[in-house]
Amino acid sequence: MNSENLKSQMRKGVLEYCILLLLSRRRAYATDIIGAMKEAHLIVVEGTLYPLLTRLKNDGLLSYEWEESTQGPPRKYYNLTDKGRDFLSELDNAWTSLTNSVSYLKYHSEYI
Amino acid sequence: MKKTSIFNLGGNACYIDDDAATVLQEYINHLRAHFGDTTSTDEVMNDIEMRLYEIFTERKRYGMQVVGLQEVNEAIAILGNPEEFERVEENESTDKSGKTDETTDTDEQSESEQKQERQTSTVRKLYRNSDNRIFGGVCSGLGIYFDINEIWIRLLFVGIFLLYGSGILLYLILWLIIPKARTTAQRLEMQGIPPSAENIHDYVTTNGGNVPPKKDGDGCLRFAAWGCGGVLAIGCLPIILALIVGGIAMAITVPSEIYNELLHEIPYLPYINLWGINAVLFHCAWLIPTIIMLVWVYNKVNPNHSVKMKPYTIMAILLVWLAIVITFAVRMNIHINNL
Repeated sequence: MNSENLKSQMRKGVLEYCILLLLSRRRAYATDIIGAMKEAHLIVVEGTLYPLLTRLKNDGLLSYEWEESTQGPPRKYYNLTDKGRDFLSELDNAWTSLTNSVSYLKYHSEYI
Repeated sequence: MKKTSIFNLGGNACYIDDDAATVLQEYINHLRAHFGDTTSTDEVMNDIEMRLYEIFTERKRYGMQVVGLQEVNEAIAILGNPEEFERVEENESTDKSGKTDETTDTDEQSESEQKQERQTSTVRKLYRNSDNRIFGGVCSGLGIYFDINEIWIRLLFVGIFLLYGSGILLYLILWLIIPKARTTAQRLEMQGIPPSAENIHDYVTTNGGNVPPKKDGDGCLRFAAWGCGGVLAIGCLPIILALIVGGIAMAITVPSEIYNELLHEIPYLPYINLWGINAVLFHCAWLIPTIIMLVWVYNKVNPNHSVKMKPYTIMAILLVWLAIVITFAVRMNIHINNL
């Protein structure tokens, strides 16, 4: 097993979950999302995010609208679609049960 | 003093120094090559270009009018090289194989180790080297790949050419199969240097600040090649028509015994005089469609590194092929009739 490979696989799933999580609070454009992700130390380079956003949009989980900006070019504001909301609540449940299981095994399990 | 040019970044005009523009162009080409030829690539690239423009305008607010090398390098560092991205696509493919190959963990491990080695060590990639070429840069590319002076490879090809001209076929096959080193990143990979932003930057700045321009001789050669192709195609046309018409005429008038004889003889094709011009014609007749099919299959399997073939080229090749097949058939026909 290669730890780098496993880590990047873990992060990959989490990245998409976190994008949806961020956008469930309010709509945002790519640079905002990137800022939040960088702040949370989830990503290092920005280029990682653009293909993910496009894929989530193509899967119908996100939608976007163009908006004029006072500082520079127009911005693509991403929104969570209804499908995205359903998807996110599923992921939320999965995440909660996963973290519960892991922390249970880590701290409370009495079998071993 | 530096020359600047205007760059279109996702629909926004941006003044960039020429050396910086070259680095940026290479970076964008590299990213595009990484994302591959999918429908969403244009959209992703547009988003990234918009972001680049945004980063540059942020700098502009501090009074910078023109984007220089430093700004470009900073922007590339922010966005990152494809090598630093999470390998989303690769993970997907290992996901799929992982399900079926759970038992062969050790194989997977050695494979991924090899992958890592390839990324860090200086393993060369085979490209055609168009910066030092006579026809397609095949020999030069092979020379770099095997670390031999290309003159020996060229001599080898001339040697193979003397064997019934098969060197030409081999050369043409390699020309079709080996991709050309188009971007600086590919030129670096060709020489076994990892195509990171710094290396591209070093390469571009040490090579006079721009990608080597196309040689003048290249244009002449291209013209000559197209001229030859055109003359050949046009020249073949009446011959092909004449042969088809003649063939139909023969089919109608010639008694059936000869055809029976012909069919009878075909299994003995290896015993027929397959030397010299007949051999060349015979091999061309089956190799050309095989190569086209192989290229087609290769393009389907690797859409990212597809071998681009212009429709006119394929048409010209097919015309030549038709001429070859008919010539061969007619020669065999005459030969068999004389048996």
